[in-house]
Order: sequence, then structure tokens, then C-alpha cells
Amino acid sequence: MTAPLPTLERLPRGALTLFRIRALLRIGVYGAVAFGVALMLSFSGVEHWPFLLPCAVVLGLSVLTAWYPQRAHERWGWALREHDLVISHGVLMHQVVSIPAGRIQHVDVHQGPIERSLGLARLQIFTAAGSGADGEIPGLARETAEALREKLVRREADDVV
Amino acid sequence: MSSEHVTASAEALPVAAGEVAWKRLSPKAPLAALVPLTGMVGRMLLGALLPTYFAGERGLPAVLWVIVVGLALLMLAVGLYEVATLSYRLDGAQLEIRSGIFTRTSRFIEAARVQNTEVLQPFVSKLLGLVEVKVETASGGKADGHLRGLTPEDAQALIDALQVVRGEGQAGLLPAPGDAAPGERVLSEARLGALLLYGATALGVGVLAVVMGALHEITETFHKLLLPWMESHWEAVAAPGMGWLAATVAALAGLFGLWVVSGARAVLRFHGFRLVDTGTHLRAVGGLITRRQVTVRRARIQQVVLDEPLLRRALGFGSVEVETAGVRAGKEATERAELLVPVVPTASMPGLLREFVPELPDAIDALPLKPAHPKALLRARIRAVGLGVLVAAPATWFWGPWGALAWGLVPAQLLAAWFDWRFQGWLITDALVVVRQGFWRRRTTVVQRARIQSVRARQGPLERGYGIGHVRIDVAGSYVELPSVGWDEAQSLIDLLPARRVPKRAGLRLPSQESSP
Repeated sequence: MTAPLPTLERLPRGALTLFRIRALLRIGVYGAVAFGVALMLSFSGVEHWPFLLPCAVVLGLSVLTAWYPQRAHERWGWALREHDLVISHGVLMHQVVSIPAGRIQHVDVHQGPIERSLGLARLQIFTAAGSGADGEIPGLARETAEALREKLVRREADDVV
Repeated sequence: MSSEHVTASAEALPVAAGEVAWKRLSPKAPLAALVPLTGMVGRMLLGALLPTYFAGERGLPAVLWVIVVGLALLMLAVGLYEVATLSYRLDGAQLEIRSGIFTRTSRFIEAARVQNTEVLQPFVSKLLGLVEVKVETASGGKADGHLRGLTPEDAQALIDALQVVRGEGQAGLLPAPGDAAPGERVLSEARLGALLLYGATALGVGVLAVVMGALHEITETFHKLLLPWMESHWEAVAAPGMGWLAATVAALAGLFGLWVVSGARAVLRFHGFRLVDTGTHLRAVGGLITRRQVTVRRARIQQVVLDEPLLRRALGFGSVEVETAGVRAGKEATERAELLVPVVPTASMPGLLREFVPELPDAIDALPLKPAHPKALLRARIRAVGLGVLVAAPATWFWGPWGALAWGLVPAQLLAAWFDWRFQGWLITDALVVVRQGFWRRRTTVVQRARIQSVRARQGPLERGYGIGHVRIDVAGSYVELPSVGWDEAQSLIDLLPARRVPKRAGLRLPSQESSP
């Protein structure tokens, strides 16, 4: 019964940079929020400990940033087969998704400012299953994303839903 | 037929030569829409109304009330104007709905994409002799085309025209109770006694909300009327044993209240329920105050769920939920299902299920289901103990010896976890996936493999330790999760489960497709 996963294509090295930049931005945002909370607590009369809160948040996230993006990058993988697209990802919650080729409704290629500067793109695959994307591959090289999109949408779709 | 039928009784709006005429809703439509629109505006402004109400007691300026009420009236006026000016037409294979005041929106719905149609007749509409039509596609969380305030003839003409465009026969609209049109088969009916049983065994979130509201009113009445009487007869009330008596009476009264509310809800929703097979469609009609008719194309059925809580099993019936790709919001599965057959006797269950899924084997109770992975039991036990401790520890802290009784939850939870694990299973046949879950609330889900949109295998950190995972199967508009399986098997299932579809039939091509190369 057991069928091993196909050999997965890995994300390019640039994707790891993308994950790290995102993690750093997250440290900045959560650190700023924690600092704001600490400021409010200090104004409301709590004296010493409030400023430990942003320190703890930044420290915790920094430790996580040293480890998580690398692991996430290792876990992301995809394979385009004759009958489906397989995407594997997740550090804590490991997921392997198979999207049959005939069920794909549309494919989006998305580029944010950081992705644009790194020459990367995020591919989002939609079926009729739900309101959000059913599959997503971040950090693909722009050309790879375009080629993959072209291959996916050119396949013959099944009947409507 | 097609668009000519729709425009036959149209209040024709001026159109260019050769263009299909637009049609308006009934002139009484704004009146029919007044109640639902008021409710909608009320819900939208709830966030502003509540603080205004509470702040008002402290003497907040009445100007806030003026602003909020003025805003509500404005929104209501806009809504009513939209209903009064909404127009629609069936142009070729497309239903086009035009609405809006400041921003004009034209919505195009391809007839071939329609998943199901629903005809509603709320109480006010019934008084005015109107109906509402909802046309659902697979695109989103709310009805894609909602025409509020059509005459039954116009609604019938629209539904007929949509079906003719799709190359299907016509289905009757809101037939009189007790009648079945020639060539139609009655598949299921629900009588009053059965509905009361259904209500008594369905205690959902909505029922609890109604009961909590009623409790609030009862408490106020108690303080006004009963408390003074009790104080004047204090010696008799405080006699030994009266505390236990009062607690028992209160518990019984509470249960009775729940039963009454739940039964009333079931009767309101399903009174006169009848499910009819029209050949290509299934049509369900029911409802006491708001009469609701749902028409589902057989070919659009995505998933069928057999819902059999323990109490209903003991009483010899269950419910069947039918899902199409139309997406509905709702807290409970029964609210999200497009078609719900409330009372199906256990004996006639296999026959009815085969009406929805012809490939289903005869004895659904005797299917050789594969059990959940043995290590899933350990996971379920850990979760049960965790939940029990989470409830019992604070209860003991706050209520002392009485709270310590909550530790009894731990063995009860452990037993429940074993039952739920033991009585779940799954099966893959050539055409179907059958999943059964739960002992106390048993739900058997049947999915056609050819309808699967995507399959995902998931493994959380705890599951990794046990080498197990779970598989989620998505179909359009819904999903089902298999019981825990080994991780290797989970990964192989994502390859195994989706099946190829039968090629399209030639007769269903649209005119626009026929003209394309």
C-alpha cells in the first residue's frame, strides 16, 4: 500500500533569504507591539518589569529565527507529475498536499516588494474546494513560477465542479 | 422557452432592438424586504447600538441616538431602493442581475455553473403573495443571486428557464402540501410527531441561545413576582429538603424548556417536509412560517452525511445531509448542508442514501470499515485526560469538595475517547470513500472519489512521535477527515484517493461553446 513520495523539487537559495527577512520583520513588528504594551503598563504605574516583556519577545523570536527559516526551507518541496501537483511543507505541522491537475480552477503568481527585489514569486493554486488557495509555493524563482503556472493552466480541466 | 419565457410576463423596461428585456421585481418587493433588511441593518449596527444603549443610562447626549438611528434609516432606505430598482434577465445561457445606486453592479451567472436553487417564502412574503429565489454557484459564502420579492409565476419562469438552458426538464415550484406532480416520486416525508422527536434529540447552539435569553426573562419575572411571595412564606420555603426539591424541579423545568424550544425550532423549519425526486433533480419543501424549497441537481451532489446521534439511533431514525458545491455559512453542520432530510427511519436509510449515491453498497451498517490506527487511541486518551484536568482542577480550586466531583469527568472522558476511537472507520471502494466517526454522535460521510478536489496528509508534532497522521479530503464546498492512519499510509492515500472523472456528455454543451472552434 505504501507509495513513497516522488522526488521533490526544492526551493532556491533565495527563498531562504526571503524566509529570514520575513522572520526579521516579524521580530520588528512583535517587538514594537510588545514595547507599546510595556509603555502603556509603565504609564499605568507598573514600575520595573514591563520592559522585560519586549526583551523576552525579541529574544524568543531571535532564537526561533536562527532555527525556523532553515528548517522551513528544507521542508518545502514540490513535484509536478502527470496527474497532479504535490506540495510538501511544514515544520511543526507537516503537510503533503496533492492537487489533481484536472481540478485546478486558476493559478495566481504573486510578488510582494521583498519577493520582487529577490526575483522570487509565490504561486497560489485554487480549486473549487474552498474560499482560499488550496496550495501555495512561496519563494519560487520568477521564471520557475511562470513556467509552472503555464503548465498547470494549460492542462485540460474536468467538468465544472 | 429560455429567455422568452422569462420575459413573457415582464414589466418590460426600455431596451434596444434585439436585446433581451430586463425584468423588475414585484412592486410589493420593498415591502417584503423591509423585515429582513431591518434585521440586517440592526445586526450591522449592533456594535454601535449596544454602547449607545448602555452609555445612555449615564446621560450620554441623545445626539448619538440621532446619529445611529439616522444612519440605520439611511442604510434601510438604500437597501429598499436597491430592491425597488433591481432588474434581471436571462440572456442566452447567462442570468444577469443589475443593481446598485452609487455603484452599479452587473452580476453574470452562467446557467451551467448553478449548483442549486432555493425558493423561500418568509411570512411577510407569504402575506404579500411573493417568494424569494436564491441561485447558488460554487463561488463563495453567500447566495450568488438573491432575488427578493418575485411573484411565484416569475420565479417559476426563471427556474424553468435556467433548467431549460442546461438541457434539463422543468421542476414544479412550491407545490401544495399533499400533492406530487405526475412523474415525481416522494422519497421522504416528516410528520409532526417525528419532527418533535427530531427536535428533542437536536440540542444545538441556537437552542441554547434561545434558552439563555428565556432564562434572563424568567430571572427578571422571578425577582418581580415570585421573590416577594417567597419572602412572605419564608418558613415553609426554608423547610428541610426544599433545597433538593427546588434543584430537581429547576433541572426538570430546564430540560423541558430545552425540549420545547428544540421541538418548536424543528417544527418551524421542517413542518410539512417532503423530499421529491423529479428525475434529474431532488426537491425538498418544508417550513411553517418561512416555507423553503431547495432544488438540487443530482449531478451536483458532492457529499452525503448520515447523522445518527445515539439517542436517534435508539429511537430508530437518523438525518441525512446533502452537500453541493454551494458554500453556506453556519455554526452547525445541519445549517451548512444545502439539503437536510430531518427524519429518516433506520430501515429506509440505505434506500434513501442510494438515491443520492447510487454506487453505495446495500448494507451500509455492515461495511467492512478499516479501524483507526491503534496509536490514535493513546492520543485520544491523552487529550481526554488533559480536558478533564483542565475542567476539574479549576472547579476544585473554586468550589472545594463540590468542585472535586468534576474529577469524575476524567474516567468518563477516557471511556468516551475509547468509544469514539473504537467506532470510527473508513473504506475506499472503486467509486467512493466512506468515513464513519463518533459513537455518541455517529456521522457517516460518503464522498465520490471522482469529486475530490484535493487530498492532504497532515502530521502534527504529537502525531510524529506516534508515527501517525491524518488525511483531509476536500470536495467542492465541504471536506471530510479520515480517522488517524499510519503516516506512510497517509502519504500513499494522497495518490490513491482521487479518481478520474467520466468524460463530459455531449448533450450538455452550451451554445457559446458550440460556436467556439
